[in-house]
Amino acid sequence: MGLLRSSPSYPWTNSMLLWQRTAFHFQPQKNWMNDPNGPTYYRGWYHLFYQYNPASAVWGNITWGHAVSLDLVHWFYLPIAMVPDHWYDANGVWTGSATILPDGRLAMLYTGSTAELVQVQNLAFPADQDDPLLLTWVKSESNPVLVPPPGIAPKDFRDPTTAWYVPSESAWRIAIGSKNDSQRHAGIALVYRTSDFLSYELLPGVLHSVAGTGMWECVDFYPVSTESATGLDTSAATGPGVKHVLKASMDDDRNDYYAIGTYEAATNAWVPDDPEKDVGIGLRYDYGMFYASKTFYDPVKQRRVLWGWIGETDSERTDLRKGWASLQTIPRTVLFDQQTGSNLLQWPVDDVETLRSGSQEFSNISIPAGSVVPLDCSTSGGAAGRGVLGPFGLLVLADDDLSEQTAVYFYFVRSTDGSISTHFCHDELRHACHPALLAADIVKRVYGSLVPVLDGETLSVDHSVIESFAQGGRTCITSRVYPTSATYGGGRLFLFNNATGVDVTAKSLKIWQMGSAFIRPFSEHDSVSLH
Amino acid sequence: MDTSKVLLILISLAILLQSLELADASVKDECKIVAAADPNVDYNFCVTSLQADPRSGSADAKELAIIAANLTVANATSTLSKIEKLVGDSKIDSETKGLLNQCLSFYKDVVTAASGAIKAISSGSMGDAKKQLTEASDNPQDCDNLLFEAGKNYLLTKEDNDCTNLASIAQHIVAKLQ
Repeated sequence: MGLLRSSPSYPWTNSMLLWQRTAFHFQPQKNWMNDPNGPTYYRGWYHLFYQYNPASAVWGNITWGHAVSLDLVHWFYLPIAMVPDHWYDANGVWTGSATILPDGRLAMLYTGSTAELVQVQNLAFPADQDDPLLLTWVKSESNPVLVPPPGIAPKDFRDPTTAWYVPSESAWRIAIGSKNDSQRHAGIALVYRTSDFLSYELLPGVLHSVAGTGMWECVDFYPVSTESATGLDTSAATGPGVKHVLKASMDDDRNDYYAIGTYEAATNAWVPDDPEKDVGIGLRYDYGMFYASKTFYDPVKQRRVLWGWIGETDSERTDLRKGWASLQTIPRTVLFDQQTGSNLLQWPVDDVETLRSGSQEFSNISIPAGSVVPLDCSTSGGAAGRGVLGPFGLLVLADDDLSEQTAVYFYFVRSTDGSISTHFCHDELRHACHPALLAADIVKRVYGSLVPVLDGETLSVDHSVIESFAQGGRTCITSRVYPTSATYGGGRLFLFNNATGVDVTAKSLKIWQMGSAFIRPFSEHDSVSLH
Repeated sequence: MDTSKVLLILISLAILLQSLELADASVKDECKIVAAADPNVDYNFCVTSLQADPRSGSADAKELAIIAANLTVANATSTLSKIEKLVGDSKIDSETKGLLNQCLSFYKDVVTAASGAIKAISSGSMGDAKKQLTEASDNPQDCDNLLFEAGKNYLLTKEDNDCTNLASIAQHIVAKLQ
């Protein structure tokens, strides 16, 4: 009680707070959620587990919540899968990953925070491997199967990855993030070899390290195809046409970073293609509120799917008042960008298109310099900061007089050598801006001068969360929004152009209304006999 | 005593002292910049290390970079002999010896890279020098991470740290010259 700060908070009404719950982003019915755990496909169902506090809307008493879906969009809540009921996870059943073995069995490795607050790795498996819903779980008698090795601090050893198979050794490997604080505060990824998931051998030499980046949480390590627009199984063979992504969540700055490189199992080494854009100092999956992400391979649609935790940006007091906190992103497909060769592309899974109801299409909308164009029928308003080449874009969750609005926009900066760089932003807060990755072909000649052309953007607006994807998914930003008047019927959509000297044409724009995914508890009616 | 000679000597001495003062300021200035650019490099370590070379008193920035690169080579070379001693030490287990052998190759690369950087600085290719000095500064950390994972990095902590710092000093002085 004494922990709540006494500074005055906004007088939220119940109506405003209720509006914040989303229609098609996964969230439990109430209370606190954080990292996605052990996502996997198993016997017809997609499974999502998640860090969950069953007792409060703030972090604590961490268990594994559980939900299933047939399509990554319509989710059904299931009972809690694991609770802190052994000494080796008494202080929390923390994050972990699923590995599907060749015979179809599932092994779940997760971090337990012990009664003494030491971070150890534990093995769990389904009580009934034939139950497609994976309702009940058994923890191995051998737990913990891994404890911090000498030299690694007891609180710097967590979040084991999905295992990948190395045929030449007939054994599996997993990676676990940590840090080396003895010299340069380096983030590191340790690798263990195992053939039975019960006993492990620490491979000498870290998979990779980056000085100055600090503790690596939620390490993820997976192959991508550089030649085809398809996902790869985590154990896909290395070779030409395959690169490996190494990703980690930086505890120091609470952002997820990835880098693309080459993996050599024989030497247990991964080398980034571009050391200047190494893990922790280069590219991020998302430039907004997005953390602790994890991918899995969907063998049905042959795609690599990414989950990310979207936290709240309101106060803890408000979270306690509204009784819940956090969302998961719409799952995203992840592909290597064959055009640039140096980044990934993310896009919401196409299953989300099944939620589309009505739509409106607009084409060749002219947005003269300094104007706001409503996309339904309301009045226009003023503009914010103006520069020669932008900003321009969309105003979402805006009310009639634009006293409330969230801008999703672009602006260009032309440098003295004539080259143009594009920036993509959320809100009017410039810190949510990021230089968008520009490919050589998207700057076209129009009327004799170079004109940047933006193509392939999508925006998902779902109550208090906006996820946007620019240039086919090269740059992504997720934001939380908590409007007080642009709620329910009061929300409008506008195009705006704050440039002083440039007119913008929206060549084609389509707006879909999205229905609810009706995320709800699993009931017998939902039990469909499959395959 | 011929007073004019004494005066001349006194004056020359004064001038000499003056220019020493100015040259010494160069070491301090460069080290201020390096310490600001790399918080891992202690200012006093930088000054003491560079001043250990008698030429530092009259060196310009380019020459100071070469001095720092030379110190890196010297440190790496002496670390190599220390590692070789450890590998031959019967009290060290074979697994650790395997890791130390990898550190041997890391440090050999430091010598090559830092030596290459000296040539590059002398010929004015600062970009190339910077790349080589980056490698020289990264490799001792690779050795440290390797040993850290096995809980054995105490064996070479000081050498790893010093070597990276010396290469970093050279690298940051070079960066300013680019």
